[in-house]
Amino acid sequence: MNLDSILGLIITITAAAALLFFWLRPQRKQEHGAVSLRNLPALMQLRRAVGLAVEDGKRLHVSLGQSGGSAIPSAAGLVGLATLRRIAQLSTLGDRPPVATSGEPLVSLLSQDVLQTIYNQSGVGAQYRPTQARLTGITPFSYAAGALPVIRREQVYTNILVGSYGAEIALLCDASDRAGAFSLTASDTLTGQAAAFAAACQPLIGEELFALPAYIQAGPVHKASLLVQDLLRWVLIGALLLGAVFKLVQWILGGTGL
Amino acid sequence: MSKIKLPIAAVVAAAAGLVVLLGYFLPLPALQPIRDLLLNWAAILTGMAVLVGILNMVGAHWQRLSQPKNRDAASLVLVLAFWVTVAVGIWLSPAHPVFRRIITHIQMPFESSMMAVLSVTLTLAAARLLQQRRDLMSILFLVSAILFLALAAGLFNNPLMNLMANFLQQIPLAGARGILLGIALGSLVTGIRVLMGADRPYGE
Repeated sequence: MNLDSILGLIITITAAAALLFFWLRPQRKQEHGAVSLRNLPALMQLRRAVGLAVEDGKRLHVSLGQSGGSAIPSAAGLVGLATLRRIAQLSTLGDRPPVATSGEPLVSLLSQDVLQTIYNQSGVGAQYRPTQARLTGITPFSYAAGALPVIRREQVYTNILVGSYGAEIALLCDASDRAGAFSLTASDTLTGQAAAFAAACQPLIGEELFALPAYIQAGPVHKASLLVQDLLRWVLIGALLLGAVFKLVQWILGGTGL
Repeated sequence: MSKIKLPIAAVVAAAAGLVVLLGYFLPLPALQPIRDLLLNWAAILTGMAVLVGILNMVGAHWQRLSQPKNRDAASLVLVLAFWVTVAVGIWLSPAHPVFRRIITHIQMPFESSMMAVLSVTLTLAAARLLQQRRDLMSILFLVSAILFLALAAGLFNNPLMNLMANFLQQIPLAGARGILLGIALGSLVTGIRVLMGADRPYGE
Protein backbone atom coordinates (compact mmCIF):
# COMPACT_ATOMS: atom_id res chain seq x y z
CA MET A 1 0.00 0.00 0.00
CA ASN A 2 1.66 3.23 -1.12
CA LEU A 3 1.39 6.74 0.29
CA ASP A 4 -1.05 7.89 -2.44
CA SER A 5 -3.48 5.07 -1.58
CA ILE A 6 -3.29 5.79 2.16
CA LEU A 7 -3.87 9.50 1.55
CA GLY A 8 -6.75 8.78 -0.84
CA LEU A 9 -8.39 6.44 1.64
CA ILE A 10 -8.05 8.95 4.50
CA ILE A 11 -9.54 11.77 2.41
CA THR A 12 -12.42 9.55 1.25
CA ILE A 13 -13.23 8.36 4.78
CA THR A 14 -12.99 11.91 6.17
CA ALA A 15 -15.27 13.25 3.44
CA ALA A 16 -17.79 10.42 4.02
CA ALA A 17 -17.79 11.04 7.78
CA ALA A 18 -18.23 14.79 7.29
CA LEU A 19 -21.07 14.20 4.82
CA LEU A 20 -22.83 11.89 7.29
CA PHE A 21 -22.36 14.43 10.07
CA PHE A 22 -23.77 17.39 8.14
CA TRP A 23 -26.57 15.32 6.62
CA LEU A 24 -27.80 13.54 9.74
CA ARG A 25 -27.25 16.19 12.41
CA PRO A 26 -30.49 16.94 14.26
CA GLN A 27 -33.04 19.01 12.37
CA ARG A 28 -33.18 21.61 15.17
CA LYS A 29 -29.45 22.28 14.88
CA GLN A 30 -29.73 22.46 11.11
CA GLU A 31 -32.41 25.11 11.42
CA HIS A 32 -30.39 27.02 14.00
CA GLY A 33 -27.27 27.07 11.89
CA ALA A 34 -29.12 26.92 8.58
CA VAL A 35 -26.90 26.75 5.50
CA SER A 36 -27.16 30.07 3.73
CA LEU A 37 -26.44 29.67 0.05
CA ARG A 38 -24.68 32.59 -1.58
CA ASN A 39 -26.58 34.42 -4.26
CA LEU A 40 -25.92 32.88 -7.69
CA PRO A 41 -27.84 34.96 -10.29
CA ALA A 42 -27.78 32.06 -12.77
CA LEU A 43 -29.65 29.79 -10.39
CA MET A 44 -32.12 32.49 -9.38
CA GLN A 45 -32.92 32.93 -13.08
CA LEU A 46 -33.24 29.17 -13.47
CA ARG A 47 -35.85 29.02 -10.69
CA ARG A 48 -37.79 31.79 -12.41
CA ALA A 49 -37.50 30.12 -15.83
CA VAL A 50 -38.68 26.77 -14.47
CA GLY A 51 -41.66 28.42 -12.80
CA LEU A 52 -42.58 30.33 -15.96
CA ALA A 53 -42.25 27.22 -18.13
CA VAL A 54 -44.61 25.26 -15.88
CA GLU A 55 -47.10 28.15 -15.69
CA ASP A 56 -47.09 28.73 -19.44
CA GLY A 57 -47.39 25.04 -20.25
CA LYS A 58 -44.01 24.99 -21.99
CA ARG A 59 -41.48 22.21 -21.95
CA LEU A 60 -38.28 21.87 -19.89
CA HIS A 61 -35.32 20.16 -21.48
CA VAL A 62 -32.59 18.65 -19.32
CA SER A 63 -29.53 17.78 -21.37
CA LEU A 64 -27.18 15.39 -19.59
CA GLY A 65 -24.15 15.67 -21.87
CA GLN A 66 -21.90 12.86 -22.88
CA SER A 67 -19.15 10.85 -21.23
CA GLY A 68 -16.26 11.78 -23.51
CA GLY A 69 -15.76 8.16 -24.55
CA SER A 70 -15.33 6.62 -21.09
CA ALA A 71 -18.76 4.87 -21.21
CA ILE A 72 -19.07 5.38 -17.44
CA PRO A 73 -21.28 8.20 -16.17
CA SER A 74 -19.16 11.04 -14.86
CA ALA A 75 -19.88 12.83 -11.57
CA ALA A 76 -21.30 15.64 -13.69
CA GLY A 77 -23.71 13.13 -15.26
CA LEU A 78 -24.83 12.07 -11.78
CA VAL A 79 -25.42 15.72 -10.85
CA GLY A 80 -27.43 16.01 -14.06
CA LEU A 81 -29.59 13.07 -12.98
CA ALA A 82 -30.22 14.65 -9.55
CA THR A 83 -31.19 17.86 -11.36
CA LEU A 84 -33.47 15.95 -13.72
CA ARG A 85 -35.20 14.30 -10.76
CA ARG A 86 -35.99 17.67 -9.17
CA ILE A 87 -37.01 19.30 -12.45
CA ALA A 88 -39.31 16.35 -13.18
CA GLN A 89 -40.88 16.66 -9.73
CA LEU A 90 -41.62 20.31 -10.46
CA SER A 91 -42.94 19.89 -13.97
CA THR A 92 -44.42 16.40 -14.42
CA LEU A 93 -47.94 17.70 -14.00
CA GLY A 94 -47.42 20.54 -16.50
CA ASP A 95 -49.08 20.63 -19.92
CA ARG A 96 -45.90 19.53 -21.65
CA PRO A 97 -43.84 16.88 -19.89
CA PRO A 98 -40.10 17.42 -19.42
CA VAL A 99 -37.69 15.83 -21.85
CA ALA A 100 -34.15 14.59 -21.21
CA THR A 101 -31.44 13.97 -23.77
CA SER A 102 -28.11 12.29 -23.26
CA GLY A 103 -25.06 11.28 -25.26
CA GLU A 104 -24.17 8.45 -22.93
CA PRO A 105 -26.16 5.19 -22.99
CA LEU A 106 -25.96 4.43 -19.25
CA VAL A 107 -27.03 7.95 -18.30
CA SER A 108 -29.81 7.68 -20.86
CA LEU A 109 -31.16 4.50 -19.22
CA LEU A 110 -30.83 6.06 -15.76
CA SER A 111 -32.68 9.17 -16.90
CA GLN A 112 -35.55 6.97 -18.13
CA ASP A 113 -35.61 5.26 -14.74
CA VAL A 114 -35.61 8.60 -12.90
CA LEU A 115 -38.47 10.01 -15.01
CA GLN A 116 -40.52 6.83 -14.70
CA THR A 117 -40.06 6.86 -10.90
CA ILE A 118 -41.18 10.49 -10.63
CA TYR A 119 -44.22 9.82 -12.83
CA ASN A 120 -45.18 6.84 -10.68
CA GLN A 121 -44.70 8.84 -7.48
CA SER A 122 -46.88 11.62 -8.90
CA GLY A 123 -49.61 9.09 -9.66
CA VAL A 124 -49.45 9.65 -13.42
CA GLY A 125 -47.32 6.65 -14.31
CA ALA A 126 -49.50 5.88 -17.34
CA GLN A 127 -48.49 9.20 -18.94
CA TYR A 128 -44.78 8.34 -18.95
CA ARG A 129 -43.23 7.60 -22.33
CA PRO A 130 -39.74 6.06 -22.60
CA THR A 131 -38.96 8.47 -25.45
CA GLN A 132 -39.10 11.40 -23.01
CA ALA A 133 -35.57 10.43 -22.01
CA ARG A 134 -33.51 9.56 -25.01
CA LEU A 135 -30.05 8.95 -26.31
CA THR A 136 -29.40 11.31 -29.20
CA GLY A 137 -25.91 10.24 -30.27
CA ILE A 138 -22.81 8.69 -28.79
CA THR A 139 -20.10 11.03 -30.04
CA PRO A 140 -20.00 14.71 -29.00
CA PHE A 141 -21.15 16.09 -32.36
CA SER A 142 -23.72 13.38 -33.07
CA TYR A 143 -25.13 14.00 -29.61
CA ALA A 144 -25.40 17.72 -30.35
CA ALA A 145 -26.91 17.05 -33.78
CA GLY A 146 -29.53 14.79 -32.20
CA ALA A 147 -30.36 17.21 -29.39
CA LEU A 148 -30.76 20.26 -31.66
CA PRO A 149 -34.19 19.22 -33.03
CA VAL A 150 -35.44 18.69 -29.48
CA ILE A 151 -34.54 22.30 -28.60
CA ARG A 152 -35.90 23.72 -31.86
CA ARG A 153 -39.10 21.76 -32.41
CA GLU A 154 -40.47 20.56 -29.09
CA GLN A 155 -41.55 23.94 -27.71
CA VAL A 156 -38.82 24.01 -25.12
CA TYR A 157 -38.80 27.13 -22.95
CA THR A 158 -35.91 26.28 -20.65
CA ASN A 159 -32.79 24.26 -21.45
CA ILE A 160 -30.73 23.00 -18.54
CA LEU A 161 -27.45 21.56 -19.79
CA VAL A 162 -25.71 19.69 -16.98
CA GLY A 163 -22.98 17.14 -17.59
CA SER A 164 -19.79 16.64 -19.55
CA TYR A 165 -19.56 18.75 -22.69
CA GLY A 166 -16.89 19.92 -25.02
CA ALA A 167 -17.15 22.92 -27.32
CA GLU A 168 -20.31 21.43 -28.91
CA ILE A 169 -22.27 22.91 -26.00
CA ALA A 170 -22.14 26.21 -27.94
CA LEU A 171 -24.30 24.67 -30.70
CA LEU A 172 -26.97 23.71 -28.17
CA CYS A 173 -26.89 27.15 -26.54
CA ASP A 174 -27.13 28.84 -29.93
CA ALA A 175 -30.16 26.72 -30.86
CA SER A 176 -31.74 27.62 -27.53
CA ASP A 177 -31.07 31.30 -28.14
CA ARG A 178 -32.62 31.14 -31.62
CA ALA A 179 -35.69 29.41 -30.21
CA GLY A 180 -36.04 32.24 -27.67
CA ALA A 181 -35.45 29.87 -24.78
CA PHE A 182 -33.46 30.28 -21.58
CA SER A 183 -30.29 28.19 -21.24
CA LEU A 184 -28.31 27.34 -18.15
CA THR A 185 -25.10 25.35 -18.54
CA ALA A 186 -22.88 23.46 -16.12
CA SER A 187 -20.03 21.41 -17.50
CA ASP A 188 -17.10 19.67 -15.83
CA THR A 189 -14.67 20.33 -18.69
CA LEU A 190 -12.70 23.52 -19.20
CA THR A 191 -13.49 23.60 -22.93
CA GLY A 192 -17.19 23.20 -22.27
CA GLN A 193 -17.17 25.93 -19.64
CA ALA A 194 -15.30 28.35 -21.91
CA ALA A 195 -17.63 27.72 -24.87
CA ALA A 196 -20.71 27.96 -22.65
CA PHE A 197 -19.49 31.21 -21.08
CA ALA A 198 -19.71 32.84 -24.49
CA ALA A 199 -22.87 31.14 -25.73
CA ALA A 200 -25.20 30.40 -22.80
CA CYS A 201 -27.69 32.74 -21.15
CA GLN A 202 -26.34 31.72 -17.75
CA PRO A 203 -23.21 29.58 -17.40
CA LEU A 204 -22.06 27.96 -14.16
CA ILE A 205 -18.30 27.87 -13.72
CA GLY A 206 -16.18 25.28 -11.92
CA GLU A 207 -17.67 23.58 -8.89
CA GLU A 208 -20.88 25.64 -9.15
CA LEU A 209 -21.99 22.62 -11.18
CA PHE A 210 -22.11 20.54 -8.00
CA ALA A 211 -24.10 23.24 -6.18
CA LEU A 212 -26.96 23.09 -8.69
CA PRO A 213 -29.06 20.37 -6.94
CA ALA A 214 -28.73 22.20 -3.59
CA TYR A 215 -30.03 25.43 -5.12
CA ILE A 216 -33.06 23.77 -6.69
CA GLN A 217 -33.82 22.10 -3.36
CA ALA A 218 -33.15 18.54 -4.45
CA GLY A 219 -32.72 17.45 -0.82
CA PRO A 220 -30.77 18.08 2.41
CA VAL A 221 -27.94 15.75 1.40
CA HIS A 222 -27.01 18.13 -1.43
CA LYS A 223 -26.65 21.02 1.03
CA ALA A 224 -24.54 18.77 3.25
CA SER A 225 -22.41 18.00 0.19
CA LEU A 226 -21.76 21.70 -0.33
CA LEU A 227 -20.58 22.03 3.27
CA VAL A 228 -18.22 19.08 2.83
CA GLN A 229 -16.86 20.53 -0.40
CA ASP A 230 -16.21 23.84 1.39
CA LEU A 231 -14.50 22.02 4.23
CA LEU A 232 -12.30 20.02 1.85
CA ARG A 233 -11.50 23.18 -0.09
CA TRP A 234 -10.17 24.88 3.05
CA VAL A 235 -8.12 21.78 3.89
CA LEU A 236 -6.71 21.84 0.35
CA ILE A 237 -5.94 25.57 0.54
CA GLY A 238 -4.18 24.99 3.86
CA ALA A 239 -2.15 22.13 2.39
CA LEU A 240 -1.17 24.21 -0.66
CA LEU A 241 -0.09 27.15 1.51
CA LEU A 242 1.85 24.87 3.85
CA GLY A 243 3.55 23.27 0.85
CA ALA A 244 4.48 26.69 -0.54
CA VAL A 245 5.83 27.88 2.83
CA PHE A 246 7.77 24.64 3.26
CA LYS A 247 9.38 25.03 -0.18
CA LEU A 248 10.20 28.69 0.53
CA VAL A 249 11.83 27.83 3.85
CA GLN A 250 13.76 25.01 2.15
CA TRP A 251 14.97 27.47 -0.49
CA ILE A 252 15.98 30.09 2.11
CA LEU A 253 17.91 27.48 4.07
CA GLY A 254 19.90 26.69 0.96
CA GLY A 255 18.09 23.64 -0.43
CA THR A 256 16.54 23.34 -3.88
CA GLY A 257 12.97 24.13 -2.84
CA LEU A 258 12.08 26.61 -5.58
CA MET B 1 -43.12 -5.32 -3.44
CA SER B 2 -41.33 -2.20 -4.63
CA LYS B 3 -40.79 -1.07 -1.02
CA ILE B 4 -38.85 -4.29 -0.40
CA LYS B 5 -37.06 -4.27 -3.73
CA LEU B 6 -35.68 -0.74 -3.70
CA PRO B 7 -33.63 -0.74 -0.46
CA ILE B 8 -32.11 -4.01 -1.67
CA ALA B 9 -31.13 -2.31 -4.94
CA ALA B 10 -29.52 0.54 -2.98
CA VAL B 11 -27.66 -1.87 -0.69
CA VAL B 12 -26.41 -3.97 -3.64
CA ALA B 13 -25.27 -0.83 -5.50
CA ALA B 14 -23.52 0.59 -2.42
CA ALA B 15 -21.86 -2.75 -1.58
CA ALA B 16 -20.59 -3.22 -5.15
CA GLY B 17 -19.25 0.35 -5.17
CA LEU B 18 -17.53 -0.11 -1.81
CA VAL B 19 -15.84 -3.36 -2.88
CA VAL B 20 -14.50 -1.73 -6.07
CA LEU B 21 -13.33 1.36 -4.14
CA LEU B 22 -11.65 -0.66 -1.38
CA GLY B 23 -10.04 -2.89 -4.02
CA TYR B 24 -8.57 0.26 -5.54
CA PHE B 25 -7.11 1.53 -2.26
CA LEU B 26 -6.20 -1.70 -0.45
CA PRO B 27 -4.12 -4.39 -2.16
CA LEU B 28 -5.98 -7.23 -0.41
CA PRO B 29 -5.78 -10.49 -2.43
CA ALA B 30 -9.32 -11.46 -1.36
CA LEU B 31 -10.80 -8.26 -2.81
CA GLN B 32 -9.13 -8.34 -6.23
CA PRO B 33 -11.10 -11.23 -7.82
CA ILE B 34 -14.43 -9.79 -6.61
CA ARG B 35 -13.45 -6.35 -7.85
CA ASP B 36 -12.42 -7.72 -11.27
CA LEU B 37 -15.65 -9.72 -11.52
CA LEU B 38 -17.77 -6.66 -10.70
CA LEU B 39 -15.86 -4.53 -13.22
CA ASN B 40 -16.36 -7.22 -15.89
CA TRP B 41 -20.08 -7.25 -15.19
CA ALA B 42 -20.11 -3.47 -15.41
CA ALA B 43 -18.39 -3.64 -18.81
CA ILE B 44 -20.96 -6.16 -20.10
CA LEU B 45 -23.85 -4.10 -18.76
CA THR B 46 -22.39 -0.97 -20.34
CA GLY B 47 -22.30 -2.77 -23.70
CA MET B 48 -25.93 -3.77 -23.30
CA ALA B 49 -26.81 -0.20 -22.28
CA VAL B 50 -25.33 1.06 -25.56
CA LEU B 51 -27.54 -1.37 -27.49
CA VAL B 52 -30.66 -0.48 -25.51
CA GLY B 53 -29.90 3.25 -25.78
CA ILE B 54 -29.44 3.08 -29.55
CA LEU B 55 -32.65 1.06 -29.97
CA ASN B 56 -34.43 3.67 -27.85
CA MET B 57 -33.06 6.42 -30.09
CA VAL B 58 -34.23 4.64 -33.24
CA GLY B 59 -37.59 3.98 -31.57
CA ALA B 60 -37.99 7.70 -30.78
CA HIS B 61 -37.35 8.62 -34.41
CA TRP B 62 -39.66 5.86 -35.65
CA GLN B 63 -42.37 7.22 -33.36
CA ARG B 64 -41.83 10.68 -34.82
CA LEU B 65 -42.23 9.25 -38.33
CA SER B 66 -45.47 7.52 -37.32
CA GLN B 67 -47.04 10.79 -36.16
CA PRO B 68 -49.73 12.24 -38.43
CA LYS B 69 -48.21 15.75 -38.10
CA ASN B 70 -44.71 17.28 -37.83
CA ARG B 71 -42.90 14.41 -39.46
CA ASP B 72 -39.21 14.97 -39.86
CA ALA B 73 -37.19 13.87 -42.90
CA ALA B 74 -34.09 13.65 -40.68
CA SER B 75 -35.80 10.91 -38.66
CA LEU B 76 -36.35 8.91 -41.85
CA VAL B 77 -32.67 9.33 -42.77
CA LEU B 78 -31.62 8.21 -39.30
CA VAL B 79 -33.83 5.11 -39.26
CA LEU B 80 -32.77 4.10 -42.79
CA ALA B 81 -29.08 4.77 -42.08
CA PHE B 82 -29.28 2.75 -38.89
CA TRP B 83 -30.76 -0.34 -40.53
CA VAL B 84 -28.48 -0.11 -43.58
CA THR B 85 -25.45 0.15 -41.25
CA VAL B 86 -26.66 -2.84 -39.20
CA ALA B 87 -27.27 -4.90 -42.35
CA VAL B 88 -23.93 -4.05 -43.97
CA GLY B 89 -22.13 -4.52 -40.64
CA ILE B 90 -23.59 -8.00 -40.23
CA TRP B 91 -22.89 -8.88 -43.89
CA LEU B 92 -19.27 -7.62 -44.01
CA SER B 93 -18.44 -7.62 -40.24
CA PRO B 94 -17.60 -4.35 -38.43
CA ALA B 95 -13.83 -4.95 -38.80
CA HIS B 96 -14.01 -5.23 -42.59
CA PRO B 97 -11.88 -2.47 -44.26
CA VAL B 98 -14.61 -1.55 -46.77
CA PHE B 99 -17.19 -1.18 -43.99
CA ARG B 100 -14.79 0.91 -41.91
CA ARG B 101 -13.96 3.08 -44.93
CA ILE B 102 -17.64 3.72 -45.66
CA ILE B 103 -18.36 4.68 -42.05
CA THR B 104 -15.27 6.89 -41.80
CA HIS B 105 -16.10 8.66 -45.05
CA ILE B 106 -19.56 9.50 -43.78
CA GLN B 107 -18.61 10.38 -40.23
CA MET B 108 -15.50 12.48 -40.93
CA PRO B 109 -17.14 15.01 -43.29
CA PHE B 110 -20.09 15.26 -40.90
CA GLU B 111 -17.88 15.96 -37.88
CA SER B 112 -15.75 18.41 -39.91
CA SER B 113 -18.82 20.36 -41.01
CA MET B 114 -20.09 20.46 -37.44
CA MET B 115 -16.69 21.79 -36.37
CA ALA B 116 -16.91 24.51 -39.04
CA VAL B 117 -20.42 25.46 -37.89
CA LEU B 118 -19.15 25.49 -34.31
CA SER B 119 -16.33 27.92 -35.09
CA VAL B 120 -18.81 30.37 -36.67
CA THR B 121 -21.27 29.86 -33.79
CA LEU B 122 -18.60 30.56 -31.18
CA THR B 123 -17.41 33.69 -33.00
CA LEU B 124 -20.97 35.00 -33.16
CA ALA B 125 -21.59 34.07 -29.53
CA ALA B 126 -18.47 35.97 -28.46
CA ALA B 127 -19.61 38.97 -30.49
CA ARG B 128 -23.06 38.85 -28.85
CA LEU B 129 -21.70 38.30 -25.35
CA LEU B 130 -21.67 41.95 -24.31
CA GLN B 131 -25.26 42.36 -25.46
CA GLN B 132 -26.38 39.50 -23.25
CA ARG B 133 -24.25 40.05 -20.16
CA ARG B 134 -22.55 43.42 -19.80
CA ASP B 135 -20.39 42.74 -16.75
CA LEU B 136 -16.74 42.72 -15.77
CA MET B 137 -16.32 38.98 -16.33
CA SER B 138 -17.65 39.19 -19.89
CA ILE B 139 -15.30 42.07 -20.74
CA LEU B 140 -12.38 40.17 -19.18
CA PHE B 141 -13.34 37.04 -21.13
CA LEU B 142 -13.41 38.88 -24.45
CA VAL B 143 -10.18 40.78 -23.82
CA SER B 144 -8.35 37.61 -22.79
CA ALA B 145 -9.75 35.67 -25.78
CA ILE B 146 -8.50 38.35 -28.19
CA LEU B 147 -5.15 38.64 -26.39
CA PHE B 148 -4.47 34.90 -26.45
CA LEU B 149 -5.54 34.63 -30.08
CA ALA B 150 -3.03 37.37 -30.90
CA LEU B 151 -0.32 35.65 -28.84
CA ALA B 152 -0.99 32.29 -30.50
CA ALA B 153 -0.82 33.96 -33.93
CA GLY B 154 2.64 35.34 -33.05
CA LEU B 155 1.64 38.98 -33.51
CA PHE B 156 3.90 40.24 -30.71
CA ASN B 157 7.20 38.71 -31.67
CA ASN B 158 9.90 40.56 -29.75
CA PRO B 159 11.88 39.57 -26.62
CA LEU B 160 10.01 41.86 -24.19
CA MET B 161 6.58 40.75 -25.46
CA ASN B 162 7.66 37.12 -25.41
CA LEU B 163 8.61 37.52 -21.75
CA MET B 164 5.22 39.06 -21.01
CA ALA B 165 3.47 36.37 -23.05
CA ASN B 166 5.20 33.66 -21.03
CA PHE B 167 4.04 35.32 -17.83
CA LEU B 168 0.48 35.80 -19.12
CA GLN B 169 0.22 32.17 -20.17
CA GLN B 170 0.80 31.09 -16.56
CA ILE B 171 -2.40 32.85 -15.43
CA PRO B 172 -4.94 30.64 -17.24
CA LEU B 173 -2.92 27.60 -16.17
CA ALA B 174 -3.32 28.56 -12.51
CA GLY B 175 -7.02 29.32 -13.04
CA ALA B 176 -7.56 25.99 -14.80
CA ARG B 177 -5.91 24.14 -11.93
CA GLY B 178 -8.16 25.90 -9.46
CA ILE B 179 -11.27 24.98 -11.46
CA LEU B 180 -10.13 21.37 -11.85
CA LEU B 181 -9.46 21.06 -8.10
CA GLY B 182 -12.99 22.29 -7.43
CA ILE B 183 -14.38 19.78 -9.94
CA ALA B 184 -12.33 17.00 -8.33
CA LEU B 185 -13.70 17.81 -4.86
CA GLY B 186 -17.25 17.92 -6.22
CA SER B 187 -16.75 14.58 -8.00
CA LEU B 188 -15.40 12.99 -4.81
CA VAL B 189 -18.39 14.11 -2.73
CA THR B 190 -20.85 13.10 -5.48
CA GLY B 191 -19.29 9.63 -5.59
CA ILE B 192 -19.53 9.28 -1.82
CA ARG B 193 -23.18 10.36 -1.90
CA VAL B 194 -23.97 7.63 -4.42
CA LEU B 195 -21.97 5.05 -2.44
CA MET B 196 -23.90 5.92 0.71
CA GLY B 197 -27.19 5.54 -1.15
CA ALA B 198 -28.06 9.17 -0.30
CA ASP B 199 -28.23 10.05 -3.96
CA ARG B 200 -29.76 7.36 -6.16
CA PRO B 201 -29.37 7.89 -9.87
CA TYR B 202 -31.38 4.73 -10.50
CA GLY B 203 -34.90 5.71 -9.45
CA GLU B 204 -36.19 5.60 -5.89
